[in-house]
Amino acid sequence: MKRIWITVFAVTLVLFVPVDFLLHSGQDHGDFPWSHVPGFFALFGFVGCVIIVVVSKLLGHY
Amino acid sequence: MISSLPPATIFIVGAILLLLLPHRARSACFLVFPLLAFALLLQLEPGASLTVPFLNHELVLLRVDRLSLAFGYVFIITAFLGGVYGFHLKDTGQQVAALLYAGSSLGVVFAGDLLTLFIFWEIMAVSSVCLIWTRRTLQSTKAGMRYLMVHLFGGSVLLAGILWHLTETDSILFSHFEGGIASYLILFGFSLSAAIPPLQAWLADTYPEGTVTGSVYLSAFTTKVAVYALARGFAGLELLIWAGAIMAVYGVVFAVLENDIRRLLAYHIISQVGYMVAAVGIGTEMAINGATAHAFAHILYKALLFMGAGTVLYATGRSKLTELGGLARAMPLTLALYMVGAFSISGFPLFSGFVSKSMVVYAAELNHMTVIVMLLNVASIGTFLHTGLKLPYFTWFGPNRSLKPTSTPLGMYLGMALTAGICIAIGVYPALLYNLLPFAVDYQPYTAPHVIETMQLLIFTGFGFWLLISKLGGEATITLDTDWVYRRPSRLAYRLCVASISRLFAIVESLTIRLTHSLIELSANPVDCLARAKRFVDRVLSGASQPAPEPSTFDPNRYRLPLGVMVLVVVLAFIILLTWALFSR
Repeated sequence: MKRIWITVFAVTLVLFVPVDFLLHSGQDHGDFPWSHVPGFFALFGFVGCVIIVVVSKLLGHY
Repeated sequence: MISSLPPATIFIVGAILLLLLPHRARSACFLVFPLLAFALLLQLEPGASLTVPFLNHELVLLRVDRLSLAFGYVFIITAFLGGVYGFHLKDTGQQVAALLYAGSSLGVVFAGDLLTLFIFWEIMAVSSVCLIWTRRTLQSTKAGMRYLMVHLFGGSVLLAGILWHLTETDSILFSHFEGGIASYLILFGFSLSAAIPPLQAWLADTYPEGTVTGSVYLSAFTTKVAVYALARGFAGLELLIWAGAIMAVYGVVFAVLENDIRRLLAYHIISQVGYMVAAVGIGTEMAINGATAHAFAHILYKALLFMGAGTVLYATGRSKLTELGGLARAMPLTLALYMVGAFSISGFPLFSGFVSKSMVVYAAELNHMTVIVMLLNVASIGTFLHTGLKLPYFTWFGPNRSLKPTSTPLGMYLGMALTAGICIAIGVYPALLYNLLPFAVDYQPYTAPHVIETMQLLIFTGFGFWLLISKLGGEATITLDTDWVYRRPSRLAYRLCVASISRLFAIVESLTIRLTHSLIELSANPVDCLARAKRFVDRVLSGASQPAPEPSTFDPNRYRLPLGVMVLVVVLAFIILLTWALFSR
């Protein structure tokens, strides 16, 4: 079971992040600080998730 | 006539008719009314209206334009889907309340003047309370009472604002509000129903206390009607942008602590409505389109999520994450349909949330609102984490508690399947939704950068979840929310305002009764009372401790007959004289 999840994540990593490197020049969303950082959203998602979980544990215990 | 019939009348007439129909036909007939209303809506043209003169003003019972039509369509569709989901119900009270609730929501959406809006607003509050109360547990009765008090309070503030507005501008038409105290009062009333913090505590408190089908209806209407009202009256108000963005994150933060699956979903309602409120605040055409699109998609996928959670509750009798788990083998279909809703709310490509939520974020991006965009994206992460990962994992996977779910009626699955179908259809073919939006749509959600960004965000949130699964189990707690402010002192307020006043009334009442008794005694036998009083005074004055010697008893009946006969003779004589005097003219 674990193996399946790892492969899924690896596949998405390979699929989406490098593609972002190639395509990020097509940003029409405006000039944001993250427009020029490829792979930003992947990092954002991961870090955000971890932060939310940690904060939730803290909140739950105070 | 058909071209200007308010759709609310169909539902309200339906609610009354439903009571007269035979029991077995009620569930099927319930579905007829949304269908009729849908047909009616297809006939209504933007610009149609129905006005009725009232006192010095005109009530606009029906005002059709693209904004109200969009909301009208989704409300009717949800009423129908909820009816399919609740087909198995034998509780007429719920069905009638649901019809009234849906009908009054339509009434508000199509109201052109503030008075009509207010009347339907109050009907909405009362009928939604009935949906909570029909669960008939002690907890839901209390929660319903809190809901009623909060909403009646909000309604009073709204009415105050409307009346103030009327004295200021002498117009009861419902259109954009400029500033001023009246506008702020009305804004307060709308915001309370939209569950904007700090006025949002009622939502998470009461939505989980409704019945299995009732909560599906509850989740769909009140907040979205308030969003419509805000879009109509306060579009472009900057305060709303920030309120919405904060709301979006607030809902997610509080959902984190929740153990009850439906309470968790209720907090996410706050989060998603935050997107809509922020869009209303931005106020551009793209933003209003986004708010409407998101409301449309949200009503449907939130109903689907509540249907899924409700099915779990129906089948297992439990709704707490700490008590659920290991249902995947027993309820796979529910899981699959729930996940359609979860993917929609998270904004996965190919589902309805993707085409609506991104429109809101895009509107913010167009206006270069960096912080807002960041906050909305954070909310997205949290939403997927809780609704799409944590809830399903701990409900369907997770530790096996060997629960034995009972079989669920076909109607529930059918309702979920239809709703899921619409969510996917909108996701795959967004033009279906975009054609209903108030303004022309100049947005293409399926661009490569956008899809890639979204997939990155979501997949890596999932990755984080997978790594931290062990730390995420729910805990059985009660979350104290802003309603602490009025729940704690409420007992004191009750003692002060209610209990002591009723005691005062009781004292006054008993005194009055005693006084009346004394008067009766006095008038029945005045001589005896006077004699007793005289004896009492004598005893007091002489200071004697032994009771005075009993005088000859006074018998009140001795002279009653002669006196009475004499009075009767006098009265008869008087009557005869009077008639003779009157009729001998």
